[in-house]
Amino acid sequence: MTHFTSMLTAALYAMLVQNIIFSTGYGMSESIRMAKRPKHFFMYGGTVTFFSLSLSLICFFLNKIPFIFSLETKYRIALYTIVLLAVYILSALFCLTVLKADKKFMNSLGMCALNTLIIALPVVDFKAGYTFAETVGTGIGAGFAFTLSMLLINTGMKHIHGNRYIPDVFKGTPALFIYISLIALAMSCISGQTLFV
Amino acid sequence: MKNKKSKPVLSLSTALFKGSFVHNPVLTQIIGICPIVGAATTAVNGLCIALGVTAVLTVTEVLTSLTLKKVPRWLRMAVYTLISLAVVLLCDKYIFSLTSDGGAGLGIYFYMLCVNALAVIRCEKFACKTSAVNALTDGVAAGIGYGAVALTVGAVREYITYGSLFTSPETLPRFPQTAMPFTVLVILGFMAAGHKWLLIKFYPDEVRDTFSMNAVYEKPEKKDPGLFADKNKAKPKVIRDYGDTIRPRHTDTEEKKGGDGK
Amino acid sequence: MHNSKEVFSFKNPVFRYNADIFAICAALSAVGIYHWGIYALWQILICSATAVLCEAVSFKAVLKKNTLSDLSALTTGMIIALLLPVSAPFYVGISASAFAVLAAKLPFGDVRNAPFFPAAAGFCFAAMMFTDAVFTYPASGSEFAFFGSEGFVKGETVFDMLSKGNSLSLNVFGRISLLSGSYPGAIGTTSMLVLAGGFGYMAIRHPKRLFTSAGYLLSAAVFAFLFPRVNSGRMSSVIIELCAGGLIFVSLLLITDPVTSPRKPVRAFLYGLTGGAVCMLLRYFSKTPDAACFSILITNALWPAVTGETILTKKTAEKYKKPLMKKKEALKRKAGTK
Repeated sequence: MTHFTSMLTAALYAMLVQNIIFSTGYGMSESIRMAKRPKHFFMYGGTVTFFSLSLSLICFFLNKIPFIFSLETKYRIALYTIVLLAVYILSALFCLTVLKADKKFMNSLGMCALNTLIIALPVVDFKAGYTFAETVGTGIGAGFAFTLSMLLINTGMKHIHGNRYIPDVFKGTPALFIYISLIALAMSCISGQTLFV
Repeated sequence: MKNKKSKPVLSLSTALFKGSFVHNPVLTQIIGICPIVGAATTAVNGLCIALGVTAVLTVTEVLTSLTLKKVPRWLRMAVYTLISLAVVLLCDKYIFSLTSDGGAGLGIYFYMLCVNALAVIRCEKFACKTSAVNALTDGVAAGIGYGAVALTVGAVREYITYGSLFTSPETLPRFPQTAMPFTVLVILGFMAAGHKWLLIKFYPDEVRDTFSMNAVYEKPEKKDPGLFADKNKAKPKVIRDYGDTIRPRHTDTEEKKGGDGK
Repeated sequence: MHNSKEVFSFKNPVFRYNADIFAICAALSAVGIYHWGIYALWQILICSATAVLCEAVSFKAVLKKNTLSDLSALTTGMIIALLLPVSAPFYVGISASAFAVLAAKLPFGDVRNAPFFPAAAGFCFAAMMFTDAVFTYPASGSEFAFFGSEGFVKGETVFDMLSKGNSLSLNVFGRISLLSGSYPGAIGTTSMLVLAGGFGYMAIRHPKRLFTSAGYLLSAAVFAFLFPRVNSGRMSSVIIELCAGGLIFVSLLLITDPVTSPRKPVRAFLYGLTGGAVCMLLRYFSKTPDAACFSILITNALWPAVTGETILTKKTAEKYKKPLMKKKEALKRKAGTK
């Protein structure tokens, strides 16, 4: 039960308390680009969750090796990147050969996998000293946080698209930046705080 | 006889100017804002990010244009990451020598340039379809444009936080909240507005709404109308936006699938 | 759309609504000035003037039109001032009002198309940038050397006591103090009597707006009842949590905004319920002492994302309902004759 509680706490932390996209900026540009396609939200969210969870777990076990545990940050990130590439290539081969995925899905698979959010997660887990349950929770929570951010940003895009009273200089990208900044401002009151403490 | 369909060739200066200013990757396309949000906390850090991105972009784009044109797209994206990782690991020592804290202020954001969306998008949209010289020009131009934004944001944040520019901060920050993303996004929003104002004034033909939802809402009809449909009948204009036009969903005989949440 | 010829005209629905908000804010300001003296007046004047000036200059420069006649800038400034303590330095009010107009209003056209309530955005900005100044309240009757001076006696608010786990009972407020508002707090959020009068005025002028308030207060009350932070009983917890901070003020003036909140009663009630729940969650789990304004921003972002209802879908639905029905009938008739 304690493992489940710590997993749930870590997931809620990654999703709401320290929403990893709005409080640190990881994966923000990817979520903005993907927010344009609301029909694929769950597909994107699911793919990001898969990669974040699998990379976090693999790196959790790799960190048990003393040599890897004592690596410098830059070599640690390089190692995590290579592991991510391996996971991505294996997933892509599986999707191509077994699932017979189409070209569009393969393009979006790359976008979901090769993402600053995915690389940052195992580093955050290592620095925070998370247990296995917390690592799982963070991986799942990051995927949900990504889906939530896409949903919120898509709402902003719809509003900006339909609003013909926006000044010309603010149409499009400037208004979208301001909209996302107000969401980040709203989230900032809880970011950096620990849950249940 | 001249080929009438050939595109006009841009001079080097025009290509650099257009790539860096007119089609600025951050202010017009919102690409790669993660390092700007997280790492560009001072002017020097912004400069380091700028140099890192330029190096990654130029090397990745040139190598892509020379060697990766025939590689399938899904595999190319992995190769971009590998090339970017190699560039970042090789040049970090030289770039961090500019900072007073050995790059500690940049955190992990500098190394995460290896998965920066900017390199992937520029390579896919341009480098794998053109020559190495053009790819190099595009890489330098995009790097200059991105770097200019990173440097400006870093300078503004440093001035607001410490009241200084290009100096190693020795005092406590006046406003530590400038480290939070919302301040950076507000700064970027107003920079983008200023950039758009300049474009409207001097380059009105180049103004594009990158995040228009037209691509989602105004898709052309691709469905086969069927054997018994009257092909001479004029189709109603399909516009599904929230402006003042009447939504044709209520008037069409066929039910349209909408992504507007209604 | 906004007709610039109808200057300060009651034909303009935005002006009508803002005039009523101004009346309520004026009553709260009068009480604030009575308790805190001339410095409360300074705070209100500075915030209002900044908001009006920013709107006048920026809207004229960018949109080439004058939007002051709908009174939205004035009410934005007043609401921000009433949420601030009287001891907050002048730059806090200026930055909050400027942010509210320049970042939450201007990029989206005007107040009728702003997806976030501008005053809430401005207050949240000030709360993040100047946390100590915004959440430090002077004790009742403390004297100030000049506006924005730090030489005042700091009062302990109910929030401080709740966060320290002090065992509170209902006599933490004297009854007269509770009604009149003479205890540490913001300028306009403490007088329960005047706020009750504001609810009564709103019930006469804009009764449908109170569905949102009802949902907000009910949700907050249920949360306080189920998860009390005090040992003196659940009902005490409800009263203390509702009276602490700007919750009632926000439920009267911010959550009821007709632009960002739904129009239909059931949806408005659900919207209020969501806002109240978010407010209490933030109170319990965030470090920010008074997170009511942050709950407004989060609800403004979350509601359209979850329900698909935005300001513009409401406008389109209302504006085109009749012509759409007529067109539908005309097409049916045509199909029938064929």
